[in-house]
Amino acid sequence: MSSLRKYQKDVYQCFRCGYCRDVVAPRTLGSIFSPLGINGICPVYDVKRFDHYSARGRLQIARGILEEHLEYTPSLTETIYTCLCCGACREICLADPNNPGRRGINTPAVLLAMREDIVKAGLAPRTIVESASNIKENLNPYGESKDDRIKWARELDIVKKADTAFFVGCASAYKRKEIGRSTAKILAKAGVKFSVLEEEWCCGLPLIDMGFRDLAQEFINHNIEALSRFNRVVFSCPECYRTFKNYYKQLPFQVAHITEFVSDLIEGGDIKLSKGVDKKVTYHDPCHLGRGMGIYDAPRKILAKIPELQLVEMLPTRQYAWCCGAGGGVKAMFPDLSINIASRKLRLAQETCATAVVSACPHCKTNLLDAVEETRIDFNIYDITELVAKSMGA
Amino acid sequence: MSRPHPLYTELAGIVGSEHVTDEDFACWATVGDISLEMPPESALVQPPTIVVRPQNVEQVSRILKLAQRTRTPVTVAGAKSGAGGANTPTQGGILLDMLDMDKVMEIDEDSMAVLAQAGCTWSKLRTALEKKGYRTGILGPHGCLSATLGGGVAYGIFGIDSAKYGMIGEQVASLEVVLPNGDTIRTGSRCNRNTKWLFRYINGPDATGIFIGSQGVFGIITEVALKIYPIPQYVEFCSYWFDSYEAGFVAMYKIQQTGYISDGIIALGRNTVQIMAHEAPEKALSVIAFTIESNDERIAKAQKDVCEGIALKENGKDLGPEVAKRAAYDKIGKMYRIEMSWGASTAWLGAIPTNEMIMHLEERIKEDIKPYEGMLIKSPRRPDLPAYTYSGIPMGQTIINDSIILVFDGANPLLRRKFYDADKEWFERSCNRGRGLYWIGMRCTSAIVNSYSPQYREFLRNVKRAVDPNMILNPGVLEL
Repeated sequence: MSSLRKYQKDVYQCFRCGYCRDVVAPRTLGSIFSPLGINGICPVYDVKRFDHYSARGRLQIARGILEEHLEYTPSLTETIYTCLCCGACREICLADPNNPGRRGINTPAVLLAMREDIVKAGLAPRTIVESASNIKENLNPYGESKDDRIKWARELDIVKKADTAFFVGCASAYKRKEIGRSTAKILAKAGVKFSVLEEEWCCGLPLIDMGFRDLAQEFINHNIEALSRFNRVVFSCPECYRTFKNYYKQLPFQVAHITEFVSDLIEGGDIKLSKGVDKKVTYHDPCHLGRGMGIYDAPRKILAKIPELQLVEMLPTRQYAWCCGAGGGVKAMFPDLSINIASRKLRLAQETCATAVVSACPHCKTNLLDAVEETRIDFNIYDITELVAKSMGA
Repeated sequence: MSRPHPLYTELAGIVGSEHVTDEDFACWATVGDISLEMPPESALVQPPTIVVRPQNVEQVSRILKLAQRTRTPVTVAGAKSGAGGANTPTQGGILLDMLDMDKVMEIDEDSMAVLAQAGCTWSKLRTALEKKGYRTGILGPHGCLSATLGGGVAYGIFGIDSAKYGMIGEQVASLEVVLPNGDTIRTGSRCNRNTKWLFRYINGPDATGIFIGSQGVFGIITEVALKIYPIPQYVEFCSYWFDSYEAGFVAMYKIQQTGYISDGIIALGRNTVQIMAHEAPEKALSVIAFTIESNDERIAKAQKDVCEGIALKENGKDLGPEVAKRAAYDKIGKMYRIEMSWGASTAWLGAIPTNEMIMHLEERIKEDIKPYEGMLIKSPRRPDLPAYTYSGIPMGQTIINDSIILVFDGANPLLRRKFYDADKEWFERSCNRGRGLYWIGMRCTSAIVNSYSPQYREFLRNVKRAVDPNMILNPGVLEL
């Protein structure tokens, strides 16, 4: 059975109301239906403006594939890889095949299923196939040497034997080393003995996003084996965290995102945020942390505890927050689209009159920084771990 | 798509290549609205062969001139969230996707009207108006914030708060329309080239009216001016249950006639009552819920007292404000969508005088539902009941929209076919009963047209021939 066929019920659940295309957020979030500058909850549709880039249109295409009105041509295949898989459409969708009154159709899952079918049929775009090969060879999506994975940690005091592992993830290991270092400093200052694994591989999510489900499973199996000696694993990357929670079956250890971890430590008095950070910031909810794992409050509680820091919410926010544009493999395959979306996101941030965006994801930070460079908008982008480490004096 | 569409280059020259696509999947993605009027069930419609997104009225005009010259059919679409099957072409051709023409042009406080482009969604319009303390009369169709003004006018919708403000046509002050030959006209006060203020019944014949409910067959609406009002400061939410259909209906009828309510709904039968008012007891066979709005608290309360007196006189029992609040849910018609969200649905709707709807109601419900009982999914809230709802929503002071929504497993092609055929039969039956239909796309074109007198039909044909002799705009709709 094709992977898409398993989602047949979801596909036919859509009754084409168009909320996923033209509505930003329900009234419950405040008095604004439609913040300036964006038209709906789907960033890709906001840029591209044709129906086939919206969840509604994508589900119609899926229906067309199921009913054999359409086939996977190169153009169609490429379009399927433009979805950020951010899940915003699911939040605004009022249809739900399994649970009336709860979250809507899982359109990202439908898209991922189509990508699996595309890969199995040997129809994946060349860049996708090359990316997957690259990950298989280098164990990361950046083409960097696997031997350099924990190069960022060489100057830090990290023990070999501990109950806790810090799963760094490819983005923090290679691109956003400051996040890896900040996280390590937080853990160390909090008195947590932890290890970082040389044998850590990519969590597998980039492969899942591209449709290489079987190959992703090899990475999953390896990481489980490598981490099995630990009681607890902490993540600074929400993508890795969510992948472990959703795709790794029967984890032999506890898992936590650094925001949950730090929030609990603050609550228990184990961490004191004593140094002021005099900034006016707005928080960007990473898709994999917010919509993906339901973690909205922990980062906000942390930010509220940092002296002198002023937090203002941008609109839309929380479960309706706009994706930064980096998800679903779009950053790698469609960099211009990704930056365009991130630039629009920055305009939403600007409306708050904050001078900085804080997020809790290395991919979000990277893409927003790229947008700052592209647009020359005067904005700082921080990861929450950086502000926490600063406030801890770590 | 094996080759570029023959008009691709010219259309790209008009709107820019980023606003036109002839990819087959892109055309397929535009197919359908919330009805079942789409392939393979429907042989009446087919995907467009090219999709164009005009950015302004000049581009719409140039596209129509091109279409006339090349005899290419043109279908107009807004949000594609209607229930009439009007946005999917009958003959392929060009799909004009109006969603980029979405600006709120002006809030005219002298005229007390707002002017917006036809592709503006209700959510965008309402946001702009609320910032200034205003609202339109009807607030959009039930359940679809994504719907557009142009689509609403072309359909001639009723909507949220129609009980007080009537159908959308009663709220239109002026239109801008591009005729099939590419000429642009403005109706109402703006037919005077020197006039910017917005008013309908002035300067000669009411040309605005011919375009309302016309489904785009006489011209493409590009701007809509709607009346606006201050946002009421006081709202009363009221709901009552009754142990019979008749009592609930008589109460709703009399309350509707007062003209005090902004919006309302009557839920009929255990299925619908359970969805809308779970707090109502087992013996509740009907529930009415309504809102009363005013800028004066005394007036709101006095009107509520009158309506409450009517309900209690029919042995209604007070359910408190929550049922009405849920049904209204900040005026986005969420309840409707929850009904539809269990599975695919087919909705039978039609307008009828309220005091006629109650006649033989129970027999009619049984007659209409019976053929489908074995095919409906089970109600998630009441697994002993099939999933359907039966309700009525006032469309003014004396008319009610009679709505049965049947929910089935849309992934089953046999059921889709069955329900599609049933739709057609029901609309024929409905028209024969004298009901008024307003979702006039391909879904019920035949039924409504068959009910026209020959003279009326010929009149519409003559108008069509006069404005669109080559029959390129929305061909097939209204069988013109």
